Amino acid sequence: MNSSTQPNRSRAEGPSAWSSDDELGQLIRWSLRSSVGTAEPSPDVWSRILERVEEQRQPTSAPPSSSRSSPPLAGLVQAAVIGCLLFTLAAGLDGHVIVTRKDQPIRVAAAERSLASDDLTAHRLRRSGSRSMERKEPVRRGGEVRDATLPS
Amino acid sequence: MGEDLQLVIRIRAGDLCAFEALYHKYKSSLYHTALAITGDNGAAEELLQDCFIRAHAAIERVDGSRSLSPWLHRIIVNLSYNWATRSQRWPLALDAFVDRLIAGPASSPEHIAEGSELRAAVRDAVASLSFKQRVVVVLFYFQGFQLSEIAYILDCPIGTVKSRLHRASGALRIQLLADRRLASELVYAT
Repeated sequence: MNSSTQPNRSRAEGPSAWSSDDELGQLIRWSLRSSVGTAEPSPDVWSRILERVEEQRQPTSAPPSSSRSSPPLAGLVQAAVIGCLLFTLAAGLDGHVIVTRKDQPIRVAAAERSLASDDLTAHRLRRSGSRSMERKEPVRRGGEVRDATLPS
Repeated sequence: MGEDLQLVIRIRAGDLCAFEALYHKYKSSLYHTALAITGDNGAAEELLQDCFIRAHAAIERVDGSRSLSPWLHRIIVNLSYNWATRSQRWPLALDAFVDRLIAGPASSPEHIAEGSELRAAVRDAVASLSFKQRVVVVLFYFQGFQLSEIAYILDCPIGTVKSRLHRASGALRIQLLADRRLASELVYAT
């Protein structure tokens, strides 16, 4: 829309109240045209717009280029990481073997001890249980026997 | 097929030459609007730049069958409102704007003297307008948009545009036409 060739369609479209403001409208138009009507944006504006627009368009095209350049680097990184992991695992396994060899008897002894104590406890419980059973059974038997031996 | 629609189709296809053609078609009008609203050359250029960047990002959603002028003005008016809210230097920019407003056409000594009187009168009148009223005045009197187009640009009913314009023009009329200092200026303006 060219402001220098301003049509009067605004006033034509507007309500009748606006037609009484012709002088006011002319004053405003004259004032604005004389101040800003001849001003133009600097040529740098378009170059800045173009730069920003191209920046916005780059993210869509960036991934293919990065994926193209990434495989060699990724392969090297992966190889280095895998090597470090293997070395660490190997060293760790050696350490574990030594430690387990040292600790194994202790652990076994402790396990045996615990097993033995468990067995002893269980045995005692079984024995005490059986004793208690043996103790109780006569009572019941006695009762039963007594009942059974009652003269009919 | 309209010129704007052809440009929109080409821009959607990634044609930056079409986008440049769109820029050169509307840059002056949009720049004048931003400058009239903000009164700041640097801000107007910044708003013009942001306007076209946003327009390019939203070009897929625009209705290309109509003129793009209201759509672009809607973007730049919204950006101007954000700028005015963010910068909060409206009174300062308004003074600078009125300075240029008056100093522009007057080159002879008598015009300078008359302009200084007009300067004070217009400053008082325009300073009394709110941002929304000022935008309506610029779009209606300066850019010549229809009321329905202004309603679209401001995203409000036509009745709201009319009421804002009525209040703005009423305030300006009361302050300017009642001022005896403007009697000679009105003759010069016509």
